Amino acid sequence: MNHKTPFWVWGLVLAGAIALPLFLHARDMDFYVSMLSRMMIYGIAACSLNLILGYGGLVSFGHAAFLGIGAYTVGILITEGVTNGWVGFAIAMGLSALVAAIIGAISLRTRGVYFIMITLAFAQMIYYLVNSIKAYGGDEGLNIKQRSDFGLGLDLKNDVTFYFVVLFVLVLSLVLISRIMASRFGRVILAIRDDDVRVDAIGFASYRYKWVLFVIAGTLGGLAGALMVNHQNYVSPNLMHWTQSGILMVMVILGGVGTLTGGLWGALVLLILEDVLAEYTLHWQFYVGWFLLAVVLLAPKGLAGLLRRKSTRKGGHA
Amino acid sequence: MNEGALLQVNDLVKNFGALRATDHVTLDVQPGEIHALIGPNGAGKTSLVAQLSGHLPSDSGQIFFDGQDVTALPTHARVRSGLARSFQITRLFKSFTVLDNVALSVQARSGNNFSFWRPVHSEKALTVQAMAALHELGLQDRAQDPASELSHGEQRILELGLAVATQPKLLLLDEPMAGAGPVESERILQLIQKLRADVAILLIEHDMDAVFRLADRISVMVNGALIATGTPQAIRLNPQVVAAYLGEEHA
Repeated sequence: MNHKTPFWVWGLVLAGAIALPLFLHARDMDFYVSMLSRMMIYGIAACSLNLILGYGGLVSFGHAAFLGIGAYTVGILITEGVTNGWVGFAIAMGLSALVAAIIGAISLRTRGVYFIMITLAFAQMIYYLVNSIKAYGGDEGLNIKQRSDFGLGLDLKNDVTFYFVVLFVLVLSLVLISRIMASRFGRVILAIRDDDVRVDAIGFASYRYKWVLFVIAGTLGGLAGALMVNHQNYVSPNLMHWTQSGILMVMVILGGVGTLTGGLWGALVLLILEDVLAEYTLHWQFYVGWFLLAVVLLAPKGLAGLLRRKSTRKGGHA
Repeated sequence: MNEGALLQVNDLVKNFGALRATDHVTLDVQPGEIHALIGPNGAGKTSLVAQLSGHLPSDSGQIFFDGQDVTALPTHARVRSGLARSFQITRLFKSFTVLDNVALSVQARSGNNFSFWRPVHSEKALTVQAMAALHELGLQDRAQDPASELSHGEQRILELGLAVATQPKLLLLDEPMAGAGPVESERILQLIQKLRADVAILLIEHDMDAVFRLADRISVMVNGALIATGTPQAIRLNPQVVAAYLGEEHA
């Protein structure tokens, strides 16, 4: 709260993020542009999970369900001829919000391990449900014939254009999250993470705040999913498998629980590690495990916390 | 039933399995009164506070507060109607500054809290009111320190302050001096003296000197039931109370 990254640092990062795809494109390395888009999409997903897991202190183990709902909604709409991106994304986010509202209303009545298990159970229910919908590919997944059409002269088939669309959504999401967490609502959420019993005892209905937070996180997860299906031209139930939820959690923990950009850094590092290590060994997960262990032990606040520790010594318990 | 009581508790019961934690308790707190609740450890005082604050549902009986039946109301609604509590084991927002702790109590009773865009730090009114509350508590010099860095005694004061900052009509204080040293205990005692002008208090406390200095009336709880209620003088002389709890020392 009392540590702020200077504005020029963000400017520099953003300038780099804008220059990088142009540079890569000029060198005919569009493959890497697409890879970066994928990382940023996972970054959005992980940041949305960080809202509930990091800021809210609620360990949701079913976040991939929202990615899946977003991705399948857009995928099915395109298959049925609704290619308008504005419509598709709006429905995808609306549906994710609705499902999050239902899952949240039930699971937030429990705490701790029970909350983890219930969110996991809901996600698995949706996973098996989608698996059984043969009309849209069932367990084989669904290929889309074209990407969402947003008009405005945006051709999402172009890797560089797609990259900038994703970057725009990412920046928008981060601005939104940072505003939310600095608002009255966000203050209540941070207090709930510290002690939700006390939050009730000073006059807040903490349940309602958790619920709204859960819906916001689910909606952003759905948005990431809608981008994902456009990126892959494909979606399968595997996107909502519980291991995917686990991967999102690893990204959050790696990057920094309860930090604005932690999810993003976690996604970047994990996916880069995966790509690099997979070049050398089939057992890349083994090495990722050691890496995760090292981060958790040496930098409890994740990579984002590590970066920040140098600039601020205040706060004591960092 | 007692007309004009701020808090009226009728025949309240709470069972934990075979254990009756609250055994048909009837008591009232009058406006402006400090009503102390004393009794040995395990008598059920904290359970009773939890029932009054809404943290623990009651098995039977009613709780009327400020003319309203609050028996079925959730905690936050009771706080909003002016019934706030402090905790025996300190519950602060440890990652917040001292000022932000109190500001959150102020925030709870002012304005729309489902506001997502405007930075809360830009709201001068919250800071001003919270700072005023810190002055009352004598914690103004620690305003910008993290709550986790306060001494134990200061944490006890802030614990009290979080409840006071909700501007209640009735405060349920669950051992406000628990664990505080003599100096800080005296500070807390002075604070309670100052508060009594504005707010009625149901006080649970083991420090008998403090109880007898502060209380207008005292109720004695043993094994979940009230065995006596009366003025400090009457309680001091009550043979049943002396036998069950006070012993000869305070008689």
